[in-house]
Amino acid sequence: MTFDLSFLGTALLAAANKIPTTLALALIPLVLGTVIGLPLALVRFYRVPVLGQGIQGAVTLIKGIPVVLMLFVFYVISGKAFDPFMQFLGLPFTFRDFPKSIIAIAALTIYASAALSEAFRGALAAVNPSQFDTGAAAGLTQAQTLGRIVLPQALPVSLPMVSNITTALIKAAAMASLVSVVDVMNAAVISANGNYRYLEAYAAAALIYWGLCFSLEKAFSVGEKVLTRRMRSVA
Amino acid sequence: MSHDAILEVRGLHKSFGKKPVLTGIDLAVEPGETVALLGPSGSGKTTLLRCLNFLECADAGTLRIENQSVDLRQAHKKEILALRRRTAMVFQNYDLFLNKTVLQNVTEGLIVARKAPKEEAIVTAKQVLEQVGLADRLDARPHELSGGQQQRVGIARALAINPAVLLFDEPTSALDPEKVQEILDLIRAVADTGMTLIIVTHEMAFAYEVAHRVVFMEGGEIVEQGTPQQVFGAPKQERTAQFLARFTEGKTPEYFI
Ligand SMILES: Nc1ncnc2c1ncn2[C@@H]1O[C@H](COP(=O)(O)OP(=O)(O)O)[C@@H](O)[C@H]1O
Ligand SMILES: [Mg+2]
Repeated sequence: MTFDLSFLGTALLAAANKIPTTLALALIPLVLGTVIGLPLALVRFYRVPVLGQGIQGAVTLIKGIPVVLMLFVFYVISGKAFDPFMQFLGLPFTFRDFPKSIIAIAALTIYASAALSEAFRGALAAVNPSQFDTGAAAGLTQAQTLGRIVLPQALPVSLPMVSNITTALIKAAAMASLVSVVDVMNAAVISANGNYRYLEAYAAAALIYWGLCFSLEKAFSVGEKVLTRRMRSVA
Repeated sequence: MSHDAILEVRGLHKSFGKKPVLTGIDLAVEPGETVALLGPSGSGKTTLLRCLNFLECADAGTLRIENQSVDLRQAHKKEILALRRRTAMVFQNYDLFLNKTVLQNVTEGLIVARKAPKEEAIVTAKQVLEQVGLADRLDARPHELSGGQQQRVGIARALAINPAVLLFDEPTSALDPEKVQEILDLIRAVADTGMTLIIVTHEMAFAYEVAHRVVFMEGGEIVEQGTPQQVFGAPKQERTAQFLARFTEGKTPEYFI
């Protein structure tokens, strides 16, 4: 068996074309997960009775399930429910028309919300509790203290975790190919369907995933350095 | 009791869990007065200051600052915020806003809490920072400052809001010994402007020289109070005498005559 370098190039091009799709599959859940995960983290940080424990239970549950399993469950449910729902609405769509990337984004968003809520909770706990007192003593409301003093200090602390979660999302997004979304992974595979040079195709996909993760990690570490330099704690 | 007091607290009780920490504090502070709060560690001094600006919620008692009074057992959020904005606190560990510059540390309470116009707040902030000798460090971050400089910012931040009562909790305890005197001198200068101060301190010479009144606390209650001459020179209570003796052992301070 030979390794066809020129086909590696072809596969790279085909896969690289779908980088925007893979980025969307990972970054939309990252943003939605932040919007959902931050309030969850706050509820747990402030130990809101009942709600706090409920969220903790849900997070533990989600962390113990493979994301791909959630994807399949969503796929099956939406496959069963979509057509009757469209009929009910009187719309001429079937499950074939349904963008499957939405299913992947939903599954990844659930995973991201759980993971990010943990990251934010940890970062909040890392802020010196006296910063809350300081804000209150200056006459700030609880919300003002949180938004202007505590969260800006928690953010840089959370960045290494957020960076890990982001690269995990990029890699997990590859499973969208299982529900026929054409992302980097799937584009590489498709490019080899004619000549069966799957090894080259997989190598191309690997190179692109590696490049994406590497660049994102670098970007996060630069961001973290800039932010922490401005507010190193005075231990 | 005292009508012209600027701050008056009556029957203040506070427990942490089952542990009583303050057991009926009565204290009235006159405008322009400097009150030194002395007492052994664990006697409840910090908790008292924190109850006065609601960083802790007292279990019982009444508090009046200027013309606003409140039953501490059932204070509402709005009342708490309004009363709290009449005081300012200088902390033992400076506790500056770590994500803000020196100037922002001072303007934050003015712009955000008191809705002062930004330009006006900056003018005020620069003025007080000048007063504490930090006019050239406006854009520095807390971690770039020495302890003494951080505490100057802490004091400037408190002065800027021109509070009815300024609370100090051991403002020099965390400082290097050679920095203590300059901060004490600064606080004395503040006291000389006629601002009302309550200051928890272990600096006995400072309390003796600067305070108009010394209040000695132990075990969650006020044991004795009076002028520095009375309390240091002729303590009425045995507990006061014992506490002061520990500080004056081996010294023959001229101010104890
Ligand atoms: N948040 C808290 N929870 C439980 N106990 C506390 C808390 N804060 C203070 N205490 C207790 O209250 C007592 C008085 O503490 P404090 O007011 O800090 O005394 P001081 O400032 O005079 O040293 C101490 O026994 C301390 O352990
Ligand atoms: Mg104390």
